[in-house]
Amino acid sequence: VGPGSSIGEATRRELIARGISLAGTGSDVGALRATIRAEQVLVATYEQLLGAGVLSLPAASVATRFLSHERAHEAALTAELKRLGGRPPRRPRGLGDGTVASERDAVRLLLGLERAAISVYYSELARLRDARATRIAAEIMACEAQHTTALRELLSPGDISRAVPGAFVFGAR
Amino acid sequence: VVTPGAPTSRRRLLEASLAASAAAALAGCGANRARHRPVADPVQDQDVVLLNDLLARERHAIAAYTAGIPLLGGTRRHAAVEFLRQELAHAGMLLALIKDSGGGARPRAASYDLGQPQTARDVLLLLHEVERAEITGYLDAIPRMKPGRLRAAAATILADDAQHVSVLRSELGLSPTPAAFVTGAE
Repeated sequence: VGPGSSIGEATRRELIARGISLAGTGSDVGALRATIRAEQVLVATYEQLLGAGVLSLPAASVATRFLSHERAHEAALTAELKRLGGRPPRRPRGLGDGTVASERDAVRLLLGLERAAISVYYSELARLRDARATRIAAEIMACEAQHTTALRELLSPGDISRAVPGAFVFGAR
Repeated sequence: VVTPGAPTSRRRLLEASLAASAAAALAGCGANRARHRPVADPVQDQDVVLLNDLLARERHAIAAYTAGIPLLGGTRRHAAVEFLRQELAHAGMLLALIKDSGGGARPRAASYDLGQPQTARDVLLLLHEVERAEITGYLDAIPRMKPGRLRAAAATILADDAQHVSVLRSELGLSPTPAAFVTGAE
């Protein structure tokens, strides 16, 4: 990551984790705000990396598809949040311009953030009570898990033990 | 149709041995997330019914992988063996959750309708179908589970099965990540 030009994985993951703290833990509204924050960081990072021009055509094609998924996730979660009377969190600021040294660095960054987002869904699915919001969150968590498989495939083609490394998908914070 | 014989006993042993490690895996994960630990709600009878329904789907998938692996070769076979190991771990986890809740696991089905797969593609289609059925089952069950820890545990399995589907779709020449929401219809 170029100095001063972008914010790396650790800070972006911290932004995702902070979303949980800011949202609180006692309500469906809080749980949904935490998941929306995770999606906001993902959307911003995919947009930045696609704009940075560091991705090859195959990787850019994957990232473009996943960006559309993340936008759909944010929209669906925001609709659920509003249905339950909540207000979405503000978009995170100060994420720099997404400059990274290589495609491999970019994919690693995305993989780390996808795993952080999965961790948010794992935590918040334990708290969500609203059946419709719970089902949507579960569908999204499964989609993010598929994203990690595809991103790992970009990093280590044909290595199934890396693409699907374990029987239980928790993500990582 | 697969009629369980000796392999069933081996599967039962494997399921039992994997139950402990799977439970330990989830417990360890929870320990790393003490800040976010869900409130402990009691498991209810309805939850045991849901867990048993999911166990039945896992056992169906285990039967499909066990029957189908001999027809696969190369990297597909390697992947299927790995996925079978993971399905066994899922079943072990569900058995542990049922036992932990004071409930009893339903007996395994006497046989499973797996069709008559003749080729590697037939097997991939069968595995895709049983994985999709698992996903549908988890998505139906998770919102109805009472304790948060059950919902979270089930979601970790759902996400793994979604990854299986992604790999199987790729082997079938389909998009591995076709939709923003994994519904089991993919």
